[in-house]
Amino acid sequence: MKAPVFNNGDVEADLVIVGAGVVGAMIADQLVGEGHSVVMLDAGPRLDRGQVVENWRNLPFESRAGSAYDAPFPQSPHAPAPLYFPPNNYVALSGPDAAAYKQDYVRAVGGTTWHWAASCWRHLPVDFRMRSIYGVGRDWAISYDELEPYYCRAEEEMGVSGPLDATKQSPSQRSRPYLSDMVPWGYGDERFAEVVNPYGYNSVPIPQGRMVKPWNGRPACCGNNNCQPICPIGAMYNAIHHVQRAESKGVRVLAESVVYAIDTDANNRVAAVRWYDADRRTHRGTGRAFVIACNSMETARLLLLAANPMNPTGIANSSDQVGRNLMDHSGFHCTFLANEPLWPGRGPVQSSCMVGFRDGAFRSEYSANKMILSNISRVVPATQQALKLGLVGKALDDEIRRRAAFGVDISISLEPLPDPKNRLTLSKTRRDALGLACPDVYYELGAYVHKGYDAASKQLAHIGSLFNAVEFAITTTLNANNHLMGGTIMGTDPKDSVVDGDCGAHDHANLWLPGGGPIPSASVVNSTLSMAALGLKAADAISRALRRA
Amino acid sequence: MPNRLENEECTVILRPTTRRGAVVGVVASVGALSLGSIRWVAAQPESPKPPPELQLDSGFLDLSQKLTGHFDLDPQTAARVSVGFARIDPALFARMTALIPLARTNQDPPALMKAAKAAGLDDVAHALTAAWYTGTVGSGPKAEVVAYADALMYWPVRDAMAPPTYCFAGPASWQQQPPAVGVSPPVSAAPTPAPVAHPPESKAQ
Repeated sequence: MKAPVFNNGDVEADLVIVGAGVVGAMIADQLVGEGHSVVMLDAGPRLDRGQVVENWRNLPFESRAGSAYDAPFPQSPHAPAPLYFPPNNYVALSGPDAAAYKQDYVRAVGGTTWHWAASCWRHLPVDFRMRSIYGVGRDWAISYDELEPYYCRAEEEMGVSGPLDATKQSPSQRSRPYLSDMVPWGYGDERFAEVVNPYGYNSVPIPQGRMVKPWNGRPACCGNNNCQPICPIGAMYNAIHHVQRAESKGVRVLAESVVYAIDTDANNRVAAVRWYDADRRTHRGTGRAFVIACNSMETARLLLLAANPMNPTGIANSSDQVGRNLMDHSGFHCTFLANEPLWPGRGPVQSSCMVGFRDGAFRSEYSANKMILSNISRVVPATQQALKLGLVGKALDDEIRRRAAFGVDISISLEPLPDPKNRLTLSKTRRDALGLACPDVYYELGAYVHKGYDAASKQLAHIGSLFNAVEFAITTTLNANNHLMGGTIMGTDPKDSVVDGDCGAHDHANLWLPGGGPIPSASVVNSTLSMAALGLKAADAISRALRRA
Repeated sequence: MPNRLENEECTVILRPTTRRGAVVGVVASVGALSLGSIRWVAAQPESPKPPPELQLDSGFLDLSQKLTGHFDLDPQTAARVSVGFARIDPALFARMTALIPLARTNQDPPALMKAAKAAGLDDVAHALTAAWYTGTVGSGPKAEVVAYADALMYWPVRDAMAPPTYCFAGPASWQQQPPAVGVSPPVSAAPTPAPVAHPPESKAQ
């Protein structure tokens, strides 16, 4: 096994990875396993799970009620991420749908999978051909069949439980079964599906990165109902698992190391990255291959920050597409009180999802949707509502129990289209503590998403009627879902895309930008499994390149 | 039944820390389980005597008990509530102490709330109720956390679920039937009103 070579704070390795999240950590684990020397640089700190749990419990009720999932995670002073309780204005948002791009992400070793809910969906085969089939958006540079083996590997790496029954799979085109059958549904999931499925809503089990049995060093999920913002026991997959596995094989991980520059050689290959350590000393990392896998926003920001004389508009940006085509699943919520108790809050925070309108001919005109039956405990909103009613004593206790047991929260995701004007640029006025430009983001969703919202609202009104809904309400402002996509979009033409089907940069033969950035169509499902699959496909390409060199 | 959480599977230890108002919870053990085995008993604080700033006026505890209808409130949490209000809103705390005599003559929550209203102190009584139920004194940037698992909001559903972050009854236990709901279903004047604007309650999935 080769180890990275350190010299006076600089480092040399076969592979230099920027970003120790799910994508970077899986690539590191694979390449070190093949005998290559690998170093990972992450802008953020190491986290202690127990401390984050305590930080969450110690947040004021209002912050927890407002889903301040970013708040319990310590930040490096040199690597800010967006905060909203109170706002830190790290990202300046503009455009008609700016509020729908208020992202939460974690800049730390292990990345944002610290506070995801571990939904591990695949895109549908048709999602890869949106332009060809529906005349909207873009086609991928690869087909579902080409990515399918990597979906299998990603599921196996992450320990995904999913339905073995093909009629409950979305999609059912699979070459291998899940490692473990679906996380069992609670009473509420079963009953809800029983009521809505005769009408075509097709509630199915969510494939999840957790098991109800011990697996590969992880404990069994015991339903702590706190997947977001953090699983207190580590039963949920989190990239820290791959970081630690990679480290045990010899990968070196440097935390609080903020990459700010990228050096290229005469052939426009990447020669080195330069970073600031926690004391603002600068260091250089040289290698044969380079991966930048921060997230859609931070990767694009770095590529733009790192503009150099040979690449004056930014690294990998001869197409002018770096930072463009930003996407996220536009979210909204439907809440009501059902006419029977469904008791959300028992088990993991999401287990069933309606996928009846994931696909259809309507996608030529408006967005598909998925509707998650949230299983987050309703005690907190129930308490807010019951206190507002001015109740005391037994009446207050009963009202909390009523609203917690009968309460329903459906989380809806809509599909945006890739649009070059939805763009991250560098602020000309705002800088972080290292003097690096902060990001500005323009976001506009257009009629495709808003018509999709109208269609979904009608479906929700019908679902509400099936439960004789009381206090039926639908949010009217679209929210972010933290499923960052776009920014380094994939395509076959280097003139209008940043990377190829292996997430290799068109402009630089030894640079890969895998993850959410290249995803050309958002679908309606959480993007992490697709990011991981793209990362593993890139890992194979890197492996071939290192063998050739 | 005491409402602090400890069972054979999961133990919650609550004790004051050097940072006043903070709560430390430790999941001590996770083991085999059954739904019927849950006991709710108080964990003993390590320190036999709370620090001086957490010394409690027994009238405040009595007021809290009568106002909430919960007679097993933790004196240390009561001390944190009291100190919290005194620190972040002294004027409100002064009015709160005026409720203490009312609690001597009004033995249950509705009667005490009625008396508070007659005395022009119902806003203070609601603020104190909210602190006990949410585990947080006050709101906004000055809000102080005084309890997590001990917050009374978790008490009415304690037979169905643990406070989030704690294990209720082990892997896949959520497959079991939930308890009888025991409260009437929600009612509204009109069935399924049209969609209306409503602020989001949770942001992300």
